[in-house]
Amino acid sequence: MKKKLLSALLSTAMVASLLVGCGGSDNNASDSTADNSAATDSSTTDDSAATDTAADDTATDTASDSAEGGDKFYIYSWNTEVQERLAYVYEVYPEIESRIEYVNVGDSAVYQEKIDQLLQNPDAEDYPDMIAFEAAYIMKYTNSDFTIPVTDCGITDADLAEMYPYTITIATDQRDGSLKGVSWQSCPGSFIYRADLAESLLGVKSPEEMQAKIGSWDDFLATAREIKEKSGDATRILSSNGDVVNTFMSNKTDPWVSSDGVFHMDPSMEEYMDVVKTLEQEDLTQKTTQWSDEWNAGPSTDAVFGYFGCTWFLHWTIKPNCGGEAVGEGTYGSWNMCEGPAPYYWGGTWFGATAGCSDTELAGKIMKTLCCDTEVMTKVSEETLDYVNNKTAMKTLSDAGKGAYDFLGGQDFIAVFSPLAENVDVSWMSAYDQKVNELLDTQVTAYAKGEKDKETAIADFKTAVAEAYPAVTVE
Amino acid sequence: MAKSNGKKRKTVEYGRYGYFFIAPFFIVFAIFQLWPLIYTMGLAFCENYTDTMFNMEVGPTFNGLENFGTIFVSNKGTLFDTYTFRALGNTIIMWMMNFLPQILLALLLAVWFTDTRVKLKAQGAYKILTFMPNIITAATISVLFYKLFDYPNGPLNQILVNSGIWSEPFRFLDTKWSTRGIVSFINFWMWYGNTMIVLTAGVLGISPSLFEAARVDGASSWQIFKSVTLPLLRPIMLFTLVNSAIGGLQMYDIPKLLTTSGYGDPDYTTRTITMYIRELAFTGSRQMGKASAASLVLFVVTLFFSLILFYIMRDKDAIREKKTIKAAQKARKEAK
Repeated sequence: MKKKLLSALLSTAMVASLLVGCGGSDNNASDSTADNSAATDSSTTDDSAATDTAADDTATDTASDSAEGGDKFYIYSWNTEVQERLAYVYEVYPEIESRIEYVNVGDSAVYQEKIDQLLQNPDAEDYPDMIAFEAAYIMKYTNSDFTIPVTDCGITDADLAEMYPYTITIATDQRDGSLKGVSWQSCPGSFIYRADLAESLLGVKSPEEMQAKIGSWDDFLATAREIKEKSGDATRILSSNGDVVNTFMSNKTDPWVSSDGVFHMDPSMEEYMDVVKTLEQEDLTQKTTQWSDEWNAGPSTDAVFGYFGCTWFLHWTIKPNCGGEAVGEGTYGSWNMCEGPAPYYWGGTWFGATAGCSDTELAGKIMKTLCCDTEVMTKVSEETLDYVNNKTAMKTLSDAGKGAYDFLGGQDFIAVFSPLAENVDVSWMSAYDQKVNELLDTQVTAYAKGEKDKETAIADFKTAVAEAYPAVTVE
Repeated sequence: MAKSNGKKRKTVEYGRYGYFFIAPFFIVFAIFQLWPLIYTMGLAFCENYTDTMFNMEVGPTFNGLENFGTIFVSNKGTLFDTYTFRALGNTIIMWMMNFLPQILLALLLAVWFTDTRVKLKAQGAYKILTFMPNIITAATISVLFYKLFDYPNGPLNQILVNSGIWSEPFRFLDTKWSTRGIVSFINFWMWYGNTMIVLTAGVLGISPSLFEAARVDGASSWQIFKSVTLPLLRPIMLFTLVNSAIGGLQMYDIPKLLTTSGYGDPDYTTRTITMYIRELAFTGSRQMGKASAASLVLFVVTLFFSLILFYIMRDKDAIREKKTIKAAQKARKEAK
């Protein structure tokens, strides 16, 4: 009799602990990409839950305890940038810091997949309250019911007055015109080049002269040939063929997919294909891959003449890779900027509150402080050099002479970017941009290497788009 | 007390406790394998994707064989000229390229290591060395090879250019056949040690007296291999082959991590079927329906290859024996 009781008890305990185990592993899996401390937290809770069940039957209580983490406010992003900016919000509202759970998904390539899955589960503990978007796919979320208008978070039209118009256009739901996201930065692009190499190779002494040499794509290619020839193959105008992509994408006249779901390939894309082919065939770039080690090493050597870069690119890509931290070290101080063959913008991070946001007031606080408060934004820009999405702030800084940048040999970067930021046109954007650009890139590479003729490459590109988007009409 | 108890119960049923102990497996299996399997089969016949325009899920609604239609027939109406079958073709090519040399080398090494006449020294050390690549994760190995074959200044390009063998660096990971070759080589290199260990165990399972008897009869090493080792190794060989076919057709990690974009550069020529299924299901329009249909195609292809292997490796002697016995029984019946 005793034996039977004991074995019944044992097997019940085993099954019970198994069930707890299941729930636990589930939690861990969904938390695994969260930052380390969060992962440790949840696993400790699971452990104690398992011990409790083995001891007595309080398992349900413990489970509800761990679910109470819903009080936390989850913000998702793909790198540490947003986290660093949140520090400025904590300065204003120190009490919210403990509530905010910042999840850095880590890789912008898997970010959308991760977010898409999380948004399917409004009841999950780690359901995002706020998410960050990148320009390449923001429309996928702002044009959906997964995000709520910022007016619901307490943002008024007056708060938006200082923003650059394009940052508002991008984040507006095209169905009803409501604004779904706000950004604290503006990312107009320019061509950033080595002033010393420009002088020795091309005899160019000022950004204006440089602009005249690369004002159009024909001029750009001619200058590229000149640089290659005069440097005796030591210097190339760009590091990778792909560096020109953002400039072309920003200058499409129509979006990839029109609002009635018809795919449209802009004629300028053929020019893009030809430019890349010329760069490849005439050996005008270093032929590296964007973001590879080789490509990152470019700014510290004389092998690369320039990069197409925007505000963040200047501070966080070229500068850390220039091989020095003060004038005279590496190539620090020997750079200049000019507009390049065409105005464009690149990237940028927006914030949006989700449909199931647990605390819209808090979301509003964060948005208002970081993206609308001129004082805070001036401070952000001054301390981090971020080009903030606030006209007054940038003007104040520029007037105060804060734009003169020693990295650019004293050139005022705000003065270069400001007119560009005002005039960014985003009518060509669509929710499809990131994926379609990837698909195009594959075909452009094949075409540039001479493996395909243009007709085949375009036909294959269209097939790939049709394959990826069954709801889109492709010719 | 004990006595009367014993009289009441005729048998002690411990059997039912056994069910508790095997229950965990079946519960987990049903939740995480059986149900997804059935659900996938259902989804394969449904229209289910997310419309990117307004990020809205479409379906799942039953649409018959439409998913299979787009998988088998291209938009120009050509049969099999689709991304699905190209991905499947890539997978089979890269699998064959790593599988054939792998099984041959593993077999050779297994025979050498177990040969009582050769008696190789330091076998343990060599076995560890061959098994090593299998212990390292695929991700690490991919990164290692990615760096090794980097363009233009990867170590291999530097060696080849500096030693004057090639005049200029070569784009290993941007050229169709070299990329496929590298993927196949990594898989070969990672798995031949594993296959070798399995085959060694198989050879060791054969009674040594058979080898001795053959040797006494004057058989050469090749004859022993052909007529003693191989036939008796058949069950293990079948296991290895089927295992490799299933693993090879599901090849994912190496080609996914080795190429720059992760989509099977260049021009999708190293995109395997599992990479393609994942791309369908989780990028672009997240086409769950079509991805499920493609998974079913992969399932059928795997089944097809496995059945072929089972057929080739069948025990012909045993079948013949069975037939003779049956024929004899039939003859006896008829005689009665």
